[in-house]
Order: sequence, then C-alpha cells, then structure tokens
Amino acid sequence: MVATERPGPAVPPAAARHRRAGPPLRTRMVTALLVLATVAAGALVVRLKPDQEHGGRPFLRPGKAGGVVDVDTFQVVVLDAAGGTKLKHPRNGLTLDTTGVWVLVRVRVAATREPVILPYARLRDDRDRTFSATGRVTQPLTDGRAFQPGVWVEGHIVFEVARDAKDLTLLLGEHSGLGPGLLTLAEVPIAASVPQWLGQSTPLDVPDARLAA
Amino acid sequence: MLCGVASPGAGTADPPPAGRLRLALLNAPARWLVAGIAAVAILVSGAFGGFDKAAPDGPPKFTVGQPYAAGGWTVTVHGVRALDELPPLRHKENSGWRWIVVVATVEVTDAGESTLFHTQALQIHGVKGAPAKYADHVAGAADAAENAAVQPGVPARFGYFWEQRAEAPVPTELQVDIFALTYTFDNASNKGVWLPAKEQPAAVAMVPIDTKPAS
Amino acid sequence: MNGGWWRRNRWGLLLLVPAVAAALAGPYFRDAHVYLENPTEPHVPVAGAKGGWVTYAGARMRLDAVTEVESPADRSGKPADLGGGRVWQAKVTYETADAGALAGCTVYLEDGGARRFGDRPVELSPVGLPSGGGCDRPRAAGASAPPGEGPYQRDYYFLLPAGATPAAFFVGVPTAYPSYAHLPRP
Repeated sequence: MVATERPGPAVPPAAARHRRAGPPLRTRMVTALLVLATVAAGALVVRLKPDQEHGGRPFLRPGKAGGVVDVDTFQVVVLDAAGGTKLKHPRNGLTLDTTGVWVLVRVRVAATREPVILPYARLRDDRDRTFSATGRVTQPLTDGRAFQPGVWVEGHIVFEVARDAKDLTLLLGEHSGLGPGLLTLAEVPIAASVPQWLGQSTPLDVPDARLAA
Repeated sequence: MLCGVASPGAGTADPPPAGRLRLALLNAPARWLVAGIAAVAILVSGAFGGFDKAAPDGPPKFTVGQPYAAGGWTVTVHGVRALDELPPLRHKENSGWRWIVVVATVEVTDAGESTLFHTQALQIHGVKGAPAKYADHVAGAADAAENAAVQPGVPARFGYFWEQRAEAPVPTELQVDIFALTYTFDNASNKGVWLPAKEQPAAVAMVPIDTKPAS
Repeated sequence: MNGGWWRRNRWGLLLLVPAVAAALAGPYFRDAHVYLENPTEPHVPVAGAKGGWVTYAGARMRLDAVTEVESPADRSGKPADLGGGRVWQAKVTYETADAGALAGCTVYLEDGGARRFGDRPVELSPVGLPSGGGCDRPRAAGASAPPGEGPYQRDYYFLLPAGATPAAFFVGVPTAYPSYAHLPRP
C-alpha cells in the first residue's frame, strides 16, 4: 500500500496534480478488493474459531470398569452397577418410586495429593443426555465427602435415569466452578441393562460408604 | 471519499456518474432525504425481522391435565388446591399462613441436561396475600424432596407451594402461568445454564381451586 | 509492487514478525500467569526449623508433636475398622495478639511424599475423638469467661494409609495466600 500512494517516478509531480488527482482506477480496484478480502477473511476466522463451549469443555480420562482411572487429583475404580424401579431411602426407609429407573454405581475412590470432594457425578447415555446424581436421597460419596490421599473409600452413587437410556457412562470429577482451572473427568462406561432393571421391583438398598482395605 | 470525484480541478462540464448522484442528492428537497432515510431504515429493520408477524394479544392458553411444551421442558398442570397444613412442609411462621398448591408434572424434553430450575416453571396471579413470585417450596409429590434436580426424560410430579396469608380469602380460581426456560451455554460462567426465553409466560390458564381438606 | 517496495519496507516487514507474535501470544501469557501464580492458592511456604516457631499471618506457631494413636476403638470399644489406615495426632501451639488472625484457617498433615491429609476426616467419625478443629483460641467454658492470653495449644487427628509417615504440618489462612506456614515434624 505504501507504494501506491507515491506518484510514480515517470510522471512529474506537477502534471500528476493537474491531470489526475489520484492513483489509477486499477489500483483503486485492487485496494477495494484487498479490503473486501480482509473483511471476508476476518469473518471466516470468527466463524471457524472454536467457541468457548468447545474450548472450555472438560478433559476426559477414559477408563474401563474394574481398572484404576487416574484423574490427577484422585483415582477411581468403577466396580459394578445395579438398577431397579424402587429405592429404599437410606435415612427414613421409605420406598421411593420413579418414572425412570434407579441406577446405583459402586465405585472405589481415593485422593492422590490432598483431600478432594467430587460433586460432579453424571451418567451419560447414548443420546448424550447427562443425568446428575439424584438429590432425592443423601449421596454417601458425592454430597461433600472429602476423600483423603491413599485412603480408598467404597460406596454407591445413586442416579435416576430415563427408561429409554442406553450405554451409560459414568463421569466423575471435581467441580472447579469459576476458577481458572478446567474440569477433568473420569469417563468410565458401566455395564448397564436398563430394560432388565425395569423388571426389578425389589427396593434397592443404598449401603453406607466404607473403607476398602 | 473518492478523491477523483471531489476534485475541483477536473475542469469538465459533465461530472462523472457518481458525482451526478451526489449533486442530485445535494439539490433534492430536505423532505426527500428524510423519506429516503426512512425507507432505508424500514428495509433494514425488515432484514432483522421487522416484517415478522406480530404476536397475537396475550400468551396462548394451556389445558389443565394436558402436557404443554415450553422451552426445554414439558409442563402438565394437574390442578390447584388450598390447604392449611401439609406436613412435612412448614410455614415460615407458626400460624397465619395457608398453602396454595399447584400440582404439576415437569419433564425435561428438549435438553440433554438435568435442571434445578423447574422451580421457575410456574407463577400464579390473582391470589391476594400470596407475595412470592416463585413458589416458596417446590416438593416432590411422592417424597416431598426439595432441591432435587429433574432428570431428562424422567417426568417428575411436584407440588408448587405458595404461602398465602390466612386472613386473605381463597379465590375460586387463579391464573397459572407456565414459563419456558431453555438450556444454553453461558460464556460468562463457562457452563450451561437454564435461562427464561422471555419475560412473558409461554401459556396461561385460569384454574379452579380445590378446597377439600387433604385426605 | 516491485523489488523496490520490498527494499523500502524491509525493516517494517521484519518488525511485523515479532509484533504479530506478541499480539498473538500476549493474552496467553496473561492466562498462564493466572494459572501458575494463582494468588488464591497457597504455594509459597514459610518454613521453620524442626520444632521451631514460624511467624505467619500475624501469628506465631509451632508443631509440638506428631504421635500415632494406638489401637483406635469405635464407640462400642471394639477396634475400629480403618481399612489398614493409621490415626495420627498433631499438637500445635499458636500465639497471637489478634484473635481473628487465624480465622478460616486450613490445616493438613503432610507425609514424606508431600501428600496432604485433612483434620478429622469423616472416616474417623466411628472413632470417638475429641471434637475440635480450626486454629483459633479454644473457647473457654462459659460464655462470660474472659478471653485467654498467651500461647494456646490445639490438637488435630488424621487418617493416613498404612506405610505413610508424617513429615510436616501445613497451616494456611486465605487472607495470607499465596503464603502458607510449613512446620517440619520435630
């Protein structure tokens, strides 16, 4: 652009002032095209740039049921899962019904460096729906319990999921909230058989968490 | 500004075409200009939805007992009751209040996330002495559990409890508003949130109040 | 647009490279600073000698002793099932003129691998331990009792897995972050 604003050396400055008051039409067209191209490129960058939802998505640490999944600040082993249409309330013994299905996931958890709480517990299904740990009963593990480093605690996480849910995967992590850190989640598929659990009407027990040897 | 057009030293009788347009604009009466700008403004507003059909007067009506899809959820209002007491819920004071209870089922149908915002799905109007905008308590119909999220695809039946002053009369009917909230990603808090689609209710209906004592 | 243009603008073009690099990287440096130097997290130790005093958050503090609680029993007197873990007690003496200096403190017992353990974890609730926690002066019996003076001692209880040995004690007060007191075991 710098060069186009200087008069060409072949044309005397005085003549340029009188016969033509600016650069030739072709140069102006090129300038206009370059401006348009810049604007278009900018629009393209804005459109292609990953959005914040994508950039802020959790890191997933995939694992297998029965194996130790290491998630930096804690470790988890998913042992098994049970399900049914009725749940015995661990506090008052009442039987809780659901229009979905109750799912109990048995896990072992220990912290690695310092005490951690794991309020983020979800089951994700084949349609990417996520079901949070139910608030209808007190959760032995995910309602603010602090796990100590190297001290393995075994217990259940209770979920209420839709009756048409398939291929359930457990997501478990620390909720970092508004802090600068991003969320890292254990991602472990569980052996779910929701259709079979729909026929299971014996009320499920939620045992207390206990220390695993 | 195209400097060639504005050049005073061009020295020709006919200005170039763009210059002619500019001259015409400069010589036009002021009201033409105003009209022209107004026309452009109308066209631009049309491009952003200005020609869309205006909403009819008032929100649509829902039917008691019928599911109504609103935003991320579907709400079925079953009925309204007035009750003095319903343990285990407790009034904010020992005496002087009664419950106005809207019984409704909420199902998250159009989002893949559980929600704790179902407490904002309903509002009531036309009841004297019931000051709260949102229900004072929203409790599971089966277990009275509060603060329990509604899971996607798992319809849950709730009592929405408003406290009404006992000295105020119980009306024969009240207006129930269904509000639509949708699940969206919020860049500011870096997480998904449930937000109201708009200030207006998605649907309203007059619902009679059942005053039979609790069985 | 010929060779002359490139020659005339060579310095500008050369400087464009670091300018663009700085413009692109600058915001990430700021983010990295927040992540690495987060002032709301304790990561600057104020360390003392073994069993010595440390001045931190407007108070002086000293780790007096760390001892294992032998054969912990549950409330019915039977040996508590702690999954092979061991219970440790730490005693810390504080001295401060400002009664609120240590409000909202966090304490940890650190083992040889710098793992941090919390005071009175829920796993120890079957074991009948004296209640407590925090770093403030223990409240004297009776609300009308005058506030105490001089140094005071507090005790803490931790559950460590088998094989872990206590090495140091951590005291953190949010208003004094990113600093924390690091008291080596005497």
